[in-house]
Order: sequence, then structure tokens, then C-alpha cells
Amino acid sequence: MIDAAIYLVSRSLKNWLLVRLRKLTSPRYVTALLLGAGYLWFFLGLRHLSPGRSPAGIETANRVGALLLLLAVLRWWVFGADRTALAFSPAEIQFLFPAPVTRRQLILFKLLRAQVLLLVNVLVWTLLMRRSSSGSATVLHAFALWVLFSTLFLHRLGAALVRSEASERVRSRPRAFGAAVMGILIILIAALLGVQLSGVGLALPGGSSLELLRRGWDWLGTPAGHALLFPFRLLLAPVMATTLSTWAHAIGPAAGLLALHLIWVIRADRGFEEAAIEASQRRAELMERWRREGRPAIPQEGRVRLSLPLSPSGHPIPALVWKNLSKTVREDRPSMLFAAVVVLVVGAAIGAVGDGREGASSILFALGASWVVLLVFFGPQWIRNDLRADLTRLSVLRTFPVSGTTLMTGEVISSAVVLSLYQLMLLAVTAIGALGATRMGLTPGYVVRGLVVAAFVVPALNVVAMGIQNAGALLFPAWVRTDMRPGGVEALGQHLISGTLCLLLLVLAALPPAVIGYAIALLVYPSWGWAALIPATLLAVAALVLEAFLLLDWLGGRFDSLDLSELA
Amino acid sequence: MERPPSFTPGDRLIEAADLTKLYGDFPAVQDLTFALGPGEILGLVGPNGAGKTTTLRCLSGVIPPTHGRVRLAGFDLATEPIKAKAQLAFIPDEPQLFDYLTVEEHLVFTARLYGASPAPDDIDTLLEELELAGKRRTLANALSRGMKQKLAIACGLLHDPRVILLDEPLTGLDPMGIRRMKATIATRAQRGAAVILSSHLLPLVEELCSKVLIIQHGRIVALGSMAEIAAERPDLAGRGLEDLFLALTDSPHSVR
Repeated sequence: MIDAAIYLVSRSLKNWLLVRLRKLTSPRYVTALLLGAGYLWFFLGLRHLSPGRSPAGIETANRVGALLLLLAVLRWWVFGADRTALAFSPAEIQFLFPAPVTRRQLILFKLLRAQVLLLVNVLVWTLLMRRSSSGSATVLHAFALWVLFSTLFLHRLGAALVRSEASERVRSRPRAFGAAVMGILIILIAALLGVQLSGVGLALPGGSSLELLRRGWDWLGTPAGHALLFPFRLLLAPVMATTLSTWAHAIGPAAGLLALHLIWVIRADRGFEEAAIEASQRRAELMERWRREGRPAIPQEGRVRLSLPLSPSGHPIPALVWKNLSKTVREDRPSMLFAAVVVLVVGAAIGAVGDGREGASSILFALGASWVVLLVFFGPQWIRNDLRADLTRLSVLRTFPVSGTTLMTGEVISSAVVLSLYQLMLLAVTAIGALGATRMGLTPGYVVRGLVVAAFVVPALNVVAMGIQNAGALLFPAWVRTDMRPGGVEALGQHLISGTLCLLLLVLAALPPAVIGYAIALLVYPSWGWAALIPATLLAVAALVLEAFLLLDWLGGRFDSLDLSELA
Repeated sequence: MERPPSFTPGDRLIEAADLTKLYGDFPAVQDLTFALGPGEILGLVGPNGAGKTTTLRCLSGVIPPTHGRVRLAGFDLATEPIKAKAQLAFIPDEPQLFDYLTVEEHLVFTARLYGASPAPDDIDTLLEELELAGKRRTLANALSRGMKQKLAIACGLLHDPRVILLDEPLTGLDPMGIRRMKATIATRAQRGAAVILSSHLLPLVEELCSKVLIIQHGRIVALGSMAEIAAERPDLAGRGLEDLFLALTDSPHSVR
């Protein structure tokens, strides 16, 4: 069995490399590969995550690292990592599960297969954390990283197996098991914190939230905090070692922990196939959805939670927009919106603790304004409920009795609407923050004027931006990211090229309307005062709308004359 | 939606003239010329890779032909694509649905696109006919393969098309679904639609189709009714479509 597993892994890796080598004849592939590799080299060359050699630096890195590992492990136990930890590919299930292979051999196969990914991780982190030019020191450091990653991998697999078995016993969903574990953990941590903090009290002078964080950080350095993070510190110790002797002292316990995990996982094999098949099916569905849609979160039960109304008669553009908005509201956008609200509320709360209403308003203004600006540039790449999500169904779209311009307009408006709604909400938050932050000196009149201008300009700009993105998808589908699958170095390069080009085109498209609006404002301001913003905004928006109209008309023609067979 | 003029049996609902599709230098379909009138069902058969799906994709406007002309319900697909497609239903072998729309929403969306304005009863009837009534609020991604196929068929038939192109329509259907699908195809033809049915299920083609078009390497090998084809090969008189097919396509199992 192990021979077969080694054969499978090695041949798969070899063929994967050969396929990529053959692609080197394509100039597009080579360009993307070089750019991606250059970016990685630059990134790895700049980033030095080494904590340095000072004891304080090492202790800080140890504490942060151990805390992050603790949180990761908690997440696996509470929310589960079954899908990624237990899953096999459909081909592996078809070939391995009916074969005369024991459960332990299956688990060993999984461990062996995981080595490819583990070794890539080791390589990347070795480069990121490199601290010595010595080859032997680098090898020792890489080995320590391998022990760390392998232990974590085994722990995740073991947690998934235990969760799976436990949920079978209680005949409920793994989520129920996770909730139970979470409840127990919360009680334990609350009790622990209660004991530790009872001496100093939670009533903090000045109510500073940073003070609370500082005390929590200090507590992690106490014996109780040490005990909580002990196993994680054990694993991190050889990674953080700066001398051969400290490494030699630390690697033994870490390797012992790895061995214990191996024994644990191999023995905890009850119900492995069932759990693995279920997890594999879930992962296959997820990957297929990611491949096609770029988003995974369609409710699995198949019943909809939220519906938008659509009349069976009327113009096709609203129907196309409705179709794409239905996709948005039924996937994970509401949860993302919820996450954004949480960030804003937490930010405002932190600000309020520090500086009352002034602090909360300042944070809201800063968060809102920066998000709006970020969304102007990167929102069109993030929100993709348009032609980019329909690229795999172009043949269906082609059978619709609608013109290409109608279709492209519906597609582009769909994503522009979603992006505009996000931005308008954030603009409102920005305005509320600006009005509340009196020390910024922004008058209500100034804020309202800014809000109104932005509310007109941003949606029009979004239509142009989405038009550019969809043009890229339609004209150069191979260059545009249409899914969320992780790619290789060449995919990274492709994304960089397409993203940069779209950004440049957006800036170029925004320039004429901006110049027009600015010129009109300058000309009219002396006689109209602030009312000059009205013609300036309207003309700038009109220029954007004209650009969008011309772009969509051209794209429609391109769609009509597109030969889908050339996209294959 | 603009309705075509009323048709008489002598009219042509599907016309393909010198239809050719090249993939690079490779000729997937070459010089196909045929016509189909109201009520006719054409069985499109051929070995794997013969060009059946490419032919259907060209006829449906999904891909443009390299040469040649296609007219659907009297409208040229190249110059009047919207009018032509409004009369068309193309149901591919692999149902391509929107995972985030329910069964009912697919029908409403299709109605809106085709300007069909069906009465609520029409949708109910179609859902009943295709055994989808109990799934109307289920997302497409939660349907079985067969149910997806039925939904694709329901969407195709909703606007009462005059031209129906079916690529392996029975794939994934259960026996009852197959029976109903066969009845649906026959009924639509009786009402005046022209149907092209691509399938490897030769008994199905023999049972339903009034004409057969056999293609190989993208070229027409035989076209006409079973009797007309057999008339050109007297040695095959009285044999079934399977024997005709094997004899005409140079199969290693050809009837000699």
C-alpha cells in the first residue's frame, strides 16, 4: 500500500510539473510565471519574520505564536476542520476505499499525501524566517518547521476524527458537538480568567481598552498563562531556537509531541471511512461551487432563505440584474455585511472606551472613508456577481433572445449595484463619523455636500469599473480570475497583470469626468458658490454615464460576435 | 415577443445551408445542408466526435458557424438572432442551471427573458408534467441529475418554441421520466414544432423520429426517412437503424 501511495504521489507531482513545463511554450504563461515569481521573490526578500536574537524578542514571538496556535486548535475543535482534514479526492475514494487497504493504511496514505503541501509550507516559512546564511542552520530550522506543521496537521486530523465519532454517538450534527465543546471551553476560560483577574479587578482606571489588552498580554506570561500555552510553546521552541544547543534541547520534546500525535491519530480510526467520505463529498461540492461560482456558501439544504420578487413580464435587464442579485443575497454577502458591521461596532466601541463620542466618531470616519476608497479601487475585483460568475454558462446566455448589449448591461449593473450599496452604507457611516468628530472641524454643510456628491459619482464610476472588469472577462477570459481556486505562481502573475491593467484603465476612465467636474466647479464657483457642485457633479456623472454607455454598447457587440469555441 | 407567421406543413422551420464549423484547421462540421418542417422530428446520430453537438451549438447560435447559414422559423440566425432565438429551445446534454435560483424562479426568469408571460397555471402545468411540482422552491444545486434535466427541459418548453434542439435529452431520467419525455417530444411535434434530437439511443431515434441525419467526421453520411435511406442501400432493406448506422459509418461492426 505504501509503495502504491508513494507511486501515486510522486507520479502526480511529476506530471503536474511536466504539464507546467509544457506550458512554457506559451508567451502568456511565461510572462505570468515570471511576474508571479518576481513578486514572490520581492515579497520573500522584503519580509523577515525572524524575531531577532534578543530574549525579549524571542519571548514575544513565542507568546504570539503560541497564542495563534491555540486559537487555531480551538477553531478546529469547535468549528471543525473535517472537510479539509478528512477529505479524499473522488478518485482516491473510488480507487482506495474498495481496495484491500486497512484504515490505518488509508490514514498513512493521507499523511504521505499531505507531505507535498507540508514541504511547500516549510520551504516558504524557511525563506520568510531565514536568519542565517549557514546551510546547516537552515536545514535544522526547516526540520523544526516540518515537525511543527506535521504535528498541527495530525492534530487537525485527530480533532476531525474525534468530532466525527462524537457527533455519530450523539446522533447530531458536528455543529452541536462544536457548540458543546465551545460552551465547556468558555466556562473553563472564564473561570480561569476570573481567578487570575480577581486580584487586580476589571475596573480599569480611565476605562482604557488598551490597558485591558496589556493586562491580558501580561497574564499570558504568568505560570497559568504558560501552562495554557505550554504544548504550543513546546512546538515553537525549536523553530525559535537561535543556537544549535537550544535547538537540540527543544527538538526532542517537539518530536515527541509529533510521535504522540501520530499514535493518537492511527489509533483513532473508528468510523474513518464514513467520516472521510462525507467530508470528501462536502469538499467536492464546495470545490465545484468555488470552481464555477467563485463562492461557496449556497445553503446545502437547497431551500432558499431569502427571495427577491420578479414579475414574469417586463424588460430583460431587470431580470438579469435580479438573477445576479439573487446569487448575491443567497451566498455569503449578508454574512460579509454582518462582519463589516461588527468591525465598525467594535471599532467604535474601542474608540468610545478610549475617548468617548469623539473617539468613536473618529474611528467610524476613518474606517468608513478608508473602506470606501479601497472599494472604489478593489471592490470591482471583489464583487463578481456579473459575467465573471456566468462565464461557465456562456452557452446558456447565448441562447437567450436578448442582444449582447442588453445582456452586458444587465450583468454589469448587477455587480455595480451591490458595490454601490456597500459604498453608500459606508459613506453614511463616514458622514456620521465626520459629524460626531468635532475636533476634525468638518461642518455639517461640508459633510452633506461631500456625501451627496459621492452618492452620485460613486455608482456611475462603479458601472464603468465593472464594465472594465467584464470586458476583461469577455475578451481575455484566460487572464481574468473567474474562480477562487488557489493557483500556482503563474496564476499569481496573471492576477497581478489583470488586476493592475483594470486598475489603470479605471484611473484613465475616471480622469476625463474628474477633469470636467473640476473645471466646471472652478468656473462656476465664483458666482454660484457651493452650488457650483451641482453642475460639476452632474456633468462628471454624465461623462461617466456616456463612457459606460459606449463601453457596454461595444461589449455587447463583442459578445454577439464571440465564438465560444475559441474560449475552450 | 414577435410571433412568426403561421406555418403549413410545406414550410421550413429549420434550414441549414452549407453549415461548416472549423476549430482551427480541424473541420468539426462540413457543408451540412438540410431542412425541417413543422411536425418533423429529425434524429441526429453519429459516432463519438462526429460533430453532433457542434452542429446543435451552431444551430442554436451558441457558437457561430465558420461558413454557411442557419434560419430558424424564417429568421436568419446571423442577421436576426433575437427573433430567431425567441422561437428556439436548446436543451444541452449537460443541464446548465443557475445554482442560486429555485425551480420556480428559473421558470419565471426564463419567461421574462423570452417575453412569454405565462399564466400561473401554465407554470403549474409544466411543473406537474415534468414531476417538478414538489420541488418548486428548491435550489437547482440541490436537485438530482435527472431533476436538473427536467428543469432544463421545462425552461426550454415554457415559451412554446417552434424549434426544439435536444442533445441526449433522456440522460439521467428515470423510466417514468423517459416515457413522459418521449410523449412531450411527440406532442410538441404534433403541435407544429420542428425537433432535432441528438442521441446515441438508436431505438429511441427510430421510435420518435420521422427523419434521420447520420453524420461522421462532420459530414452527412445519410439523410432522410428510414425508407429513403434504405432505398439507397437495398442490401440494408428491412434492417433497423442500428444496422443502418453501423453499415454507413464504417464501424468495425458494420453489417456486410
